[in-house]
Amino acid sequence: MNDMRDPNLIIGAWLDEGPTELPETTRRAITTSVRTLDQRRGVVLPWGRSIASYAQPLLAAAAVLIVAVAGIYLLSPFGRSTSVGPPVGSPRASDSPPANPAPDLVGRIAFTRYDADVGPLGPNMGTFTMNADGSGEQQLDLPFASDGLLWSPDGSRILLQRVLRDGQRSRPAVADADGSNVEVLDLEGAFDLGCGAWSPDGQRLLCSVADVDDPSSDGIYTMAADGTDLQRLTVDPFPGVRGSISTCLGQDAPTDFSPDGTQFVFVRVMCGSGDDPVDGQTAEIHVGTIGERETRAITIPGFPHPQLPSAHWSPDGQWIVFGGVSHLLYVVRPDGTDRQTIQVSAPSFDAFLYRPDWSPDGSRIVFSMQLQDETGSELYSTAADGSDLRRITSAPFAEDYASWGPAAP
Amino acid sequence: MTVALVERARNGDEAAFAELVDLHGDRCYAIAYRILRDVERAQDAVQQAFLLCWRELPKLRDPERFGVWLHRLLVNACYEEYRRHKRWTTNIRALPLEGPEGPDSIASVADRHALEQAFRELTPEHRAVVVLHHHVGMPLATIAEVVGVPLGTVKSRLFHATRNLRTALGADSDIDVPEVRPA
Repeated sequence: MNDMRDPNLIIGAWLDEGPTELPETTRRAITTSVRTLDQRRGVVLPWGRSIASYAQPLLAAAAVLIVAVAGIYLLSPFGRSTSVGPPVGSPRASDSPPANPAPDLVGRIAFTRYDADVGPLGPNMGTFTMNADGSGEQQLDLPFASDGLLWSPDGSRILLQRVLRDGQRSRPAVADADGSNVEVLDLEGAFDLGCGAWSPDGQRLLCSVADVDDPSSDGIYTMAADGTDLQRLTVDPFPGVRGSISTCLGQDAPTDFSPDGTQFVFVRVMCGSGDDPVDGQTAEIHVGTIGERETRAITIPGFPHPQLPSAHWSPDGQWIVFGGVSHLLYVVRPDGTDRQTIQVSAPSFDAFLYRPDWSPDGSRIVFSMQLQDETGSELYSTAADGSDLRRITSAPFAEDYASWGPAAP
Repeated sequence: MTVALVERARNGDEAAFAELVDLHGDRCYAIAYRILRDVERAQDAVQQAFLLCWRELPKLRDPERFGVWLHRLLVNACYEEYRRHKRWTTNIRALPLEGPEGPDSIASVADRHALEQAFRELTPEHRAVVVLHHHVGMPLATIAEVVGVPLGTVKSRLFHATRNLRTALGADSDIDVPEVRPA
């Protein structure tokens, strides 16, 4: 196929066709309309008061009514349910913790919510924690947005995988479990650094370095949880590729340590070629041993969704769970054998299941699920055999990057 | 320049806001049209986005983020506009036989027809990612901020949408999903 029939060029050219100038009538309509809109207060009524000014006393009255009704309900026999979680597809009933949580629902799940602020103006990535059944949700007051967070093994600290700051290279950060005492691990260097796992003793982190312009340092690293003692574990043989349409980082993405701390698992991303190297990138899940440069692939080549790297070791060390392929989750032995599907009863075959993580006792798995007709992904959990699917979140936002940790000490 | 205008506009300066509309209106309209494929709905979406922008502007904490924020309002307005008119209708704007870009255009009439059909099959969420990536040239991480979903979801949407469009052109997607067999 010659360049003139390059489908990406044709798509780009087609998209470039069409009007590019806002009609003057629309421009005038906008500037005229703003005169009738009061900033902050919404639409101004003819007698000078905003609609919002009427809403406040109405809301107060409604709140009093709700409290009264709730009190009557709780005193009635109907108010004594001990349900531990909503069935799939139902909205979460309450933010209060269940009276008797099932043993396998113990612990807290940390996650990232997109479009977290009530209005469209705040940070669009919020960091939250909740009980494993979705109750007791709390937002952590963090100074940075992060692309994901992970509990330390004892639940006392959190790792912000990649802190996002305008104009700066990504760096990890650690904080106390309540979001206080944030410390950005600000290593010097013109590379992107992110971390994807705590060591089992909570003393070290599993990280990756990526620099599309100088890939000589790309690979998996480990460092102390205070940002010192950076040690290289792998050399990434597939560097990033910069195309005219997209830039593919092609990095090794760290995802977990083995429970005994002697091995690690990561996703190796291989970029496509041409103008759009992101379109065509593939990945493999690899397992390595600390102190050895050679790693082994445990998935078939061509694993198609490298943008969703996740592979987590079960607490008993017997399995590695991964997703990001289809409406199924998968487990595989750490040596790459015995790959099995986890038959989750997803609502449809269009569902896309990804970023799974084990519960602390290994009996359940939390994961993100994107349904074809929903705007954002939601968090679900399932028993490790695929039964007992429970929807955990149901807010009108996207939730992702679930990390299931023990209850904080 | 934009930052100074944003700061003035969020203090209620209507003239500054009008300048922001002048600065960003064309780009917003181009994006909205390409997502919605309809000139009137695109105008409505742009109008809604700018009116919400004016109303909420005082709450914008970082004027440097105005661009990303405005794009978010616009994309959300496009989603609403799409759902308000869920029954998709054809834009009856007549195209010259040789296409609007003349004989040198890379996309032939048949290509454009195929792409138009395939694009209509996409959800507005997928369309937005395609337009922001292929038309605006926005980095994927920025698109994730604009559309308010994880970066992985953006890439997934782009992957599927681009594959559908390429398929419509008769180009083989070489990224077939391999089947993972249970043991």
